Amino acid sequence: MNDSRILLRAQGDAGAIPIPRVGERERTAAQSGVITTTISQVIQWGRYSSIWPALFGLACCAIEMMAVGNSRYDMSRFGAEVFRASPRQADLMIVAGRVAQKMAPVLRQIYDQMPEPKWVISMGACASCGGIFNNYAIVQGVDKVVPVDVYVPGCPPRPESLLDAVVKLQKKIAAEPASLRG
Amino acid sequence: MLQAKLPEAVLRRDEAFGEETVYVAREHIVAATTLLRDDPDALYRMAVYVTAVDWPEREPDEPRFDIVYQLRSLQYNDVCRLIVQITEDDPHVPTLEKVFSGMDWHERECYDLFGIVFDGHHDLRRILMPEDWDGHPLRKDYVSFGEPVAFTHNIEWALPANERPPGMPGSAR
Amino acid sequence: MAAILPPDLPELPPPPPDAEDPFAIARAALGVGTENDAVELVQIGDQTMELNMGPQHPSTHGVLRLVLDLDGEVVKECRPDIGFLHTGFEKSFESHTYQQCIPLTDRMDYLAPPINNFGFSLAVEKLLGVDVPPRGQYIRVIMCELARLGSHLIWFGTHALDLGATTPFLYAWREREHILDINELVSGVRMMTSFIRVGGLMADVPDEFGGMVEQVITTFPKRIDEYELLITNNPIWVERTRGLGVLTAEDCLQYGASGPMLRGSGVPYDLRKAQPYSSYDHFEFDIPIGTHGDVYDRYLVRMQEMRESVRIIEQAYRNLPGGPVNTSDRKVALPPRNEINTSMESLIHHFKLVTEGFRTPKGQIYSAVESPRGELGFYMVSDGDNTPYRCKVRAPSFSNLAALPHMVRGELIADVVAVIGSIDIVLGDVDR
Repeated sequence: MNDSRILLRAQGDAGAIPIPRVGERERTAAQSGVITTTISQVIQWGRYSSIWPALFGLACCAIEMMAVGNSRYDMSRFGAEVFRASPRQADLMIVAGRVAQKMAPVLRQIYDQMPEPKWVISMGACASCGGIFNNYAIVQGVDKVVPVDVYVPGCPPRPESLLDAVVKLQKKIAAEPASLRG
Repeated sequence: MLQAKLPEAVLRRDEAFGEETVYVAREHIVAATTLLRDDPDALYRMAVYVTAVDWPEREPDEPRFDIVYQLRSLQYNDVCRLIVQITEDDPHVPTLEKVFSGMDWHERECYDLFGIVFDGHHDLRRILMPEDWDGHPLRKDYVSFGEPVAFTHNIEWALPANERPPGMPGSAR
Repeated sequence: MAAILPPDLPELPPPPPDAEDPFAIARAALGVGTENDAVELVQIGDQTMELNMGPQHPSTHGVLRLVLDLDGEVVKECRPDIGFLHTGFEKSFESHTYQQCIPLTDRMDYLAPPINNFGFSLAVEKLLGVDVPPRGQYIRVIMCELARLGSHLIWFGTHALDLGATTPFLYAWREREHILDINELVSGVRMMTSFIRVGGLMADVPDEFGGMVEQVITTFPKRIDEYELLITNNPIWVERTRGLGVLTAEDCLQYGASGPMLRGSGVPYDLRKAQPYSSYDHFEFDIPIGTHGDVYDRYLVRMQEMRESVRIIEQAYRNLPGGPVNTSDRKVALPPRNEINTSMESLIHHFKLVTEGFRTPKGQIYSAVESPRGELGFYMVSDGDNTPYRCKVRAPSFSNLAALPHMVRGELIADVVAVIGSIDIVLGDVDR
């Protein structure tokens, strides 16, 4: 199981998502419509441009996740509006909401059912660290159950925060070599 | 009114904040609620909830648990509250499932969170906590343990589970 | 009180007398008898399959697990398994002061958070015996009715989405953004406002509040018309929801179902009219009630409730009185900032309230408000301390959901989804 504590390093200029680069020698070739890149970069470009989240809205954060998918804060712009009901068809699990003790094994099972490559965004304070519920009933952070790639603070996080998390995840995917997750 | 019709059930009455509370003996609770539901002067036909309150300091003089029933009458636009007091050694109460079908889930929740056993319930098992959970969370002696906030002096709480020093309490399932 | 007249629809077929035949409902709906069967249907044995509609499911409106005993597509028995969102609110209440409990209450029924705040505040105010000034009461009513609108919009969007209509989902959320903008204006938070507190409100509303409420008042009735145009007389919707999930008035009372479930079955009981709180009796509004108690009637009840909510908001806003929004009892509500600079007593009150909170007298009360789901009650027991000794939350969705097995026995699987949508459950409320 991958340890996903890979620190995100800024690549190139701060806002840009790396795209396949044109090599020096092939400038004239590029003018005729050929670009060179690495296979890894292209694969990762494909992966981050159409992330399919699995429906895992648990509590209040799920409502904000639905708001992100709707017209005002459109997640389709980032390629991620197709929420798949079946985890077998998804590659991103946005854990949106508090995870109760009874739900933790279910969470793990859904995570295991997702095929590689897969990523996890822990949305909201409750998913990241237990939130305001420091008691017997809530798992204090889903990283006790599944490995997490991006943590989003907030209660619930603003839709823009979740979009920022998706963008950060895209940068993270772009920075990874394609073979890391099979 | 309950006093008039079923005097042996009523132990005492309390009135505060504009509301009335009737303390009922355990053996008569089913008869009392059936009477309140069917009597044309009362017609408390809506089951609002069943819950319990834990007063551990009252023991051993007084019973520890207060089982609170609340019924609502739509016709007379009124609520009434009945309390049955039971001790910890004998936490059994007759079930009201036959009187109100909605009490079924409320009684299961009471069993789950307090450990009150409702005699005659068809399926008394945990409803909110996992089936194999130990303990009854809402009792006062159940310490609700989450996780301490990690500072520099207790930084081991912020480490992942496999890097912590051994012997720390409170591992998640 | 106005009863809703259903649109001009053909009469439902009479319910089939034969409970043995698993296809009885389908036969009655289609009006065919056994003579048209291509093969002779003989019951060989009991072929009940246990199907798990798991906690992770697009149509269960949260983490609800249903274990269905199926015979083909017909549901013989349904056993809901809840507790996948149990948060231990009631235990947490016991270790927080009353003011600290307010943000916790936000997260219970998370589709209409101000109403949870409202219920809790009313309960504590009843214990304390404080009154909120009229301006505070009116603004509370406006925020609660906006929350009710928001909650019904989510119900509408998700219910329609479950039954296959994807457009209303986007429309409903577009409208809801306007309501969330108002929330953000008054409290800074889109959803979990914690705006309604014990003794009044967090603060008075800013000036832009008026313009935004006006916009809601003028645009929403047309929007609700738009939704009704899409759905109400739609033959697919009518076919899928009429006659389904019938709950008689007697059943509702037995299960303790309240709110639109009770009103859809014909019982004209609404806590805002029956036991008016926070000056609801100053406003004129109707209570929509249904006749059959099926999914379609509950849908009509909620659509009409949306219109009535807009009506209440308009009346409250037009007649909004001036004055303070918080009670003048300094032992409960924070004193205004300028007073702290001049009065020593106010400073001490502020200090005590912020560090310790107020203490309530000993006793127990029950106070209920009308949430979009039904009767949201708070049974509060106090032992004279600054934290609730026991605060039981009577969640409407818990009792409403208890009626689910009764409603879906004998229905098809696809209808289970429709019935769950019509109950309008919020798992945060069910599991607390």
